[in-house]
Amino acid sequence: MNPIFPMTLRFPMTLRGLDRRTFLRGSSALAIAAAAASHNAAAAPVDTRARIVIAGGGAAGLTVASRLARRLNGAEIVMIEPRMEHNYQPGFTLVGAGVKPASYVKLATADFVPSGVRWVRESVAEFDPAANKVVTDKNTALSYDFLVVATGLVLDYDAIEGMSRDLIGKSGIASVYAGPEQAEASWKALAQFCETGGTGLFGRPETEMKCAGAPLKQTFLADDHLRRKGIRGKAELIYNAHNPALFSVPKVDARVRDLFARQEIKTNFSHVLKRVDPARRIATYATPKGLVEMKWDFINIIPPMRAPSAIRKSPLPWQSGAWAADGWIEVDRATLRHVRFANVFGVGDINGVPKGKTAASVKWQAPVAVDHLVATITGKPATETYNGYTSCPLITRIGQAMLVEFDYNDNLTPSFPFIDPLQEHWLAWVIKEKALKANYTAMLQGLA
Amino acid sequence: MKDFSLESLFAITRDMLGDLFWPAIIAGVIIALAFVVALIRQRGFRGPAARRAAIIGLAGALAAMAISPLATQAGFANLHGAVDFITLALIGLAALAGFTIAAYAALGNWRPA
Repeated sequence: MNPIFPMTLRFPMTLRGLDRRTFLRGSSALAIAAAAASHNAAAAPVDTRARIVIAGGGAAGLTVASRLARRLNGAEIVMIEPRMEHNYQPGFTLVGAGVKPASYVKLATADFVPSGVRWVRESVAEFDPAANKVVTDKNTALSYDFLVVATGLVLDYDAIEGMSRDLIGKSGIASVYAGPEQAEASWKALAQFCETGGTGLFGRPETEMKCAGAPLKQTFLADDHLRRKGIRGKAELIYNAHNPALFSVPKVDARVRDLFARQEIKTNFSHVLKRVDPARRIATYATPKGLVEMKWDFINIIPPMRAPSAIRKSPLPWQSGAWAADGWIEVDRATLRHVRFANVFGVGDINGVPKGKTAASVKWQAPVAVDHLVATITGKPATETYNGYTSCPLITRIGQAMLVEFDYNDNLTPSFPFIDPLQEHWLAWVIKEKALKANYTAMLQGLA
Repeated sequence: MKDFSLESLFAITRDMLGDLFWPAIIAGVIIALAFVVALIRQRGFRGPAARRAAIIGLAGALAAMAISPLATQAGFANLHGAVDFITLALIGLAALAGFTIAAYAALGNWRPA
């Protein structure tokens, strides 16, 4: 007997004949079983001549288009989107922290437009839901039976006096939201700060915003870079929260406060950025006690965010309440159907709902909106509802993140029960750094 | 994870691997078939080829575990809690299996001239 490997795998002497045939038969059976298992139990496509317009071809618009193209047979589906390029926006934070190059987030819209969907390369200038019509900026009028509003939001840099996009990367100003090039310029500004130290200012706007965890991630990443450079002691990092909390979910808020304290990141509350003076590097904040000026060596600016002008001028936004001022559309929070126009649905950042301006929210919202739209066509009841699911892989340093997921009621709703959402894990970082982009592109194709 | 189907897994894996996806699939199929042929020829997982394959597998597992954090721009100091160490161990086990199979597929079919 072999002393090193006493246990060896032995096959019967008939292997060469009988078992090879058995192997081949077994392989075929396995392949058939795999194909059967992989076949979605989804119903056959619904036959319809419905005309569906999707306003917007970003993450939400493409995802809805892909799902509708699979669910419907014969529908006329038109997606209105002017941009040829498609940005993987969840990657902007990684670019802004020097973890990924700008090319990492650049995709092409054309690669994800499903066959059977007509892509109109214009933008919607007018919504007329009473007449079931939209008009584009090229005066193309499109009538519809159903409208899916997936326009996303706009960044309002002009709302901060003294700020403009072309300042990003200059005078120590960072702002990743504006795009891949701006994210890369933001990294250069951060890298420069991490050579010299000084005062770094961080914060977020008082409006709704997409990925509300990003300002915190950027603060943590700046802290990490300074420590890696060995000059953390020469820098003061200040996070100016717009309200009395660091995060809207109380359990996560408490955890972030602990981490900020551990990392010696100072915090101020109820500070809203109103003005910047790039030449003197002075930021002015509105606070309950009046205007406060702070000098910066590095400042991470996140602009106020609003619904696009065409939406704000339409009857689609909330007419009163918390979401009226910025034009978020008035949809039922569970079905995503417009409250006043029953053939209109909203998906993504444009919705006026308590949670859900993230790519992960689109992943959960799109099937719900599609389900209710298709149910209206078939006359059968819809079964899907949206519970406010939002995901925020909260990076706390390069190599670690907390996989924070929650719903409308601030319940933590982890997708992976074995990952504690309030603990920093390498695995959560790996998911963010390696797997989420592929999950995102699969989502755009209606496959995740 | 609600919509997690095999079709989703296929799409995600394909998009993760990018241009490497189909070469990896083809290589995997070739290696798997060669492994089966080696098992048939050697009448099992046995002999000097198996010993060498196991050693290669072990080396591959250790290398994979050593490289994994670095491949994600992290370090061993970033591993925290059981879930991270279990993940690393699973990477090691997968590498052990993969390297062993690939090595035996080669060594078990190799006939010196």
